[in-house]
Amino acid sequence: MTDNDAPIVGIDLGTTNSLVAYADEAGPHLIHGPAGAEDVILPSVIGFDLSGGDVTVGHTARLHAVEKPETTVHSIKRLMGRGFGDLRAESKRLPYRVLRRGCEIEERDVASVVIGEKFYTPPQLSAMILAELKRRATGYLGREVTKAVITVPAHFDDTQRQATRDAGLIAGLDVVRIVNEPTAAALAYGLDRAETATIAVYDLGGGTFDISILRIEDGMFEVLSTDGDTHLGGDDFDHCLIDLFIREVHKQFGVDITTPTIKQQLRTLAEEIKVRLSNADEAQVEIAIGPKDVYRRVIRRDEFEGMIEPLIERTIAACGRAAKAARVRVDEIDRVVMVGGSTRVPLIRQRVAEAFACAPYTAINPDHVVAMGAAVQASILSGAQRGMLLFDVTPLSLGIETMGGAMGKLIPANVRIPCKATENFTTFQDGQTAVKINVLQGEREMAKDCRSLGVFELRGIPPMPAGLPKIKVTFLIDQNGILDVTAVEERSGKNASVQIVPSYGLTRDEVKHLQEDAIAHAREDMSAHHLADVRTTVEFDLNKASGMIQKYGHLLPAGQRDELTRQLNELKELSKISDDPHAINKARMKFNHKTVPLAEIAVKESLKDS
Amino acid sequence: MFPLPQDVDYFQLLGLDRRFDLDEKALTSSFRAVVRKVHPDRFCDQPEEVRNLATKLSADLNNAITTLKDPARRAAYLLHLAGGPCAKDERGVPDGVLMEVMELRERIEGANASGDLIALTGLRDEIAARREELLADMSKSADYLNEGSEKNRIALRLLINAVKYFDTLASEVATDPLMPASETDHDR
Repeated sequence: MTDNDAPIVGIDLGTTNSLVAYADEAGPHLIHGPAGAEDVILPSVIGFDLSGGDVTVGHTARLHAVEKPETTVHSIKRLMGRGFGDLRAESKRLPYRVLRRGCEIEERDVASVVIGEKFYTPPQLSAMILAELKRRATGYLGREVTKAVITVPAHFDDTQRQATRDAGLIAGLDVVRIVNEPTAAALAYGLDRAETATIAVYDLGGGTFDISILRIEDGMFEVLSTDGDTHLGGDDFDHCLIDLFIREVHKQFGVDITTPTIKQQLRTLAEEIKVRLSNADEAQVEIAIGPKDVYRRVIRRDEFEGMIEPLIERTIAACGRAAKAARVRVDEIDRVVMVGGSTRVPLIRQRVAEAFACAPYTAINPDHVVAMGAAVQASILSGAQRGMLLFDVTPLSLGIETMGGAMGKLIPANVRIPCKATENFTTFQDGQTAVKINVLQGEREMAKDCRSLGVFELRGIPPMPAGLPKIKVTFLIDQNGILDVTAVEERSGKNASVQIVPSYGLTRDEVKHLQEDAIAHAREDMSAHHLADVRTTVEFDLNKASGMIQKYGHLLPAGQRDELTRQLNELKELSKISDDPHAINKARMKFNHKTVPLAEIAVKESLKDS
Repeated sequence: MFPLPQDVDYFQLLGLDRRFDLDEKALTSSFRAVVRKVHPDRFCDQPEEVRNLATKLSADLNNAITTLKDPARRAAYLLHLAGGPCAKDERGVPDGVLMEVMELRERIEGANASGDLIALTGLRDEIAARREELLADMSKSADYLNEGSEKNRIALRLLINAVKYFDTLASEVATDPLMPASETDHDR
């Protein structure tokens, strides 16, 4: 690393909203956007303008979501590290188009969002949000921000974590650490405490649910267990209402309200109703159907609660599993910290209070706490915060596909990270120089029910009779929860190279290309801007010169005057034709030099006139 | 920070004597002291090799504490170091344990089905007590491990296998108030 003093920011890259924070001597604080100190939340919404090619991120994009549902991307986090196959059910709910990205290798399945004629992978889209946060942070700190801690749901698998890191790279950010969201929240809360405590963090965001149980002692934040659901969040509460509206409108009016534009409107409406029902016992709904008809409905809180209760029970069941995995009894948990906007729903607070037998803790705004914690982790990494250290666990078991299609577990869920496991492999044919391993994550017995991280091909095994090579493969999960695989053939002592074909993610080369693309675009954008500036200057200079020629040209020797006019037309032409701002500028300066005699005459003449 | 020699064992790594009986407090405090020093987050500004080394050392330490803290795993590790059979090679349990386990399982199923909390709590305590007895036998058996007889090594393996059975049984008793009786296996 070249610049050790470069600031590290903390980023909460959320399904619905994203935030960036920075910790200085005074502690962590959120970095605000252009609209002022209150403007700390950047909606994770990206809007594309197909005519001008512009991309907007945040509030503006969200405002246009209803008018332009097909070119507005929200909830991209739900697509991170996922295949098109995973998203078939989900993509029906999304107003934008999701397709399978073209890949050379058949087994790979990378989902892409289609905007106009272009395909965008989820990391590319997330990178647009990150780039906006990076811009804000750079503006705020007055120094280029190139390093970040980014948070992810604790339950994200390796592919989803890699996708997040890739998004950072594409946005020009070195992701120095990936931290689990509930763990980050615990850091934000535990900052001023020297206490010893066991806490649970209940984190229900827009699209994901996490429960983590931590032990805090002596500045060590030790995660004991984690559980959750990467596809359960406040968005699902909205969908309960949306499905109800669609069903009832169809029944009453025989109208199908599932076009992208209406769906987007329903989303906004459902969210409003949900928020209102957190404070009121009922909420009025009105949806205009065609020119005359109006769908009117009162939603009572208990009715809404009936709809979302099965979802909440799923979170409570996960809490039970987490407590069991942590070997902690409920009465040993000192505090339950609530994180995520969805925890404002009263029924959730009530059920969590019942399950843990203590009142939920909500001192820090549940929308802000994760970003604040990410900034605390950033300050730990920069060496500014020495008293604290984080010890996390891996959320999912890691294994390999064994003969017969079973999942052979190598590292169980909920063990401390970094951690590693080794396994020996051999060859089945004489002279075989490569071995393929299907690496899996998940808790199910069969490989097909687990998540494939990719096929790892061990290459460069010295040719030997079948069964003789002893290839020792080491699986290392690092502090970010990301897997690294290395292999050694022990008889020869040679390192085997490990080639990875990710099942759902991008390859290193693909990320590199996207990264270069993004940099090239930035340069293109800049040179486009530069070109416009230079052309404006040329126009200004040409107008000035042609005015002087008209007024005082007759005072020049005849040849010189024609020559200057010729050169003026030449520059005018070049400025129109050329795309090279440097060439145009050079020609402009040369021309200006030629106009000096005329300018001198003009000065003299104007003095005579006065 | 230096790379560890290949053959360093978990006891050495944490500065402890290689034996079954150990002071859990000493184990924990020794682990905490070392793991703090090599935590990868303290080397963020260092060259990549140093950072990778910190990650690997931390992984070794974490594997060490996981292995040594749990008595059954600790015994299995000692057995491995002594060249004893692994679970794949020797699947047996001491005489009578299999019958005992089957009987207990029936009672657990009955209590789980009826949701009889008193019976479940009783079962939980009974299993825990039996597990403790097995661990005591394990401690005695591990003391003779280095005397070299294959019989000793097999005896220890059988005890380790038995403890695993009781751990499984314990996980089947649905007593946790946060824990629903039927654990649904939805997509996690």
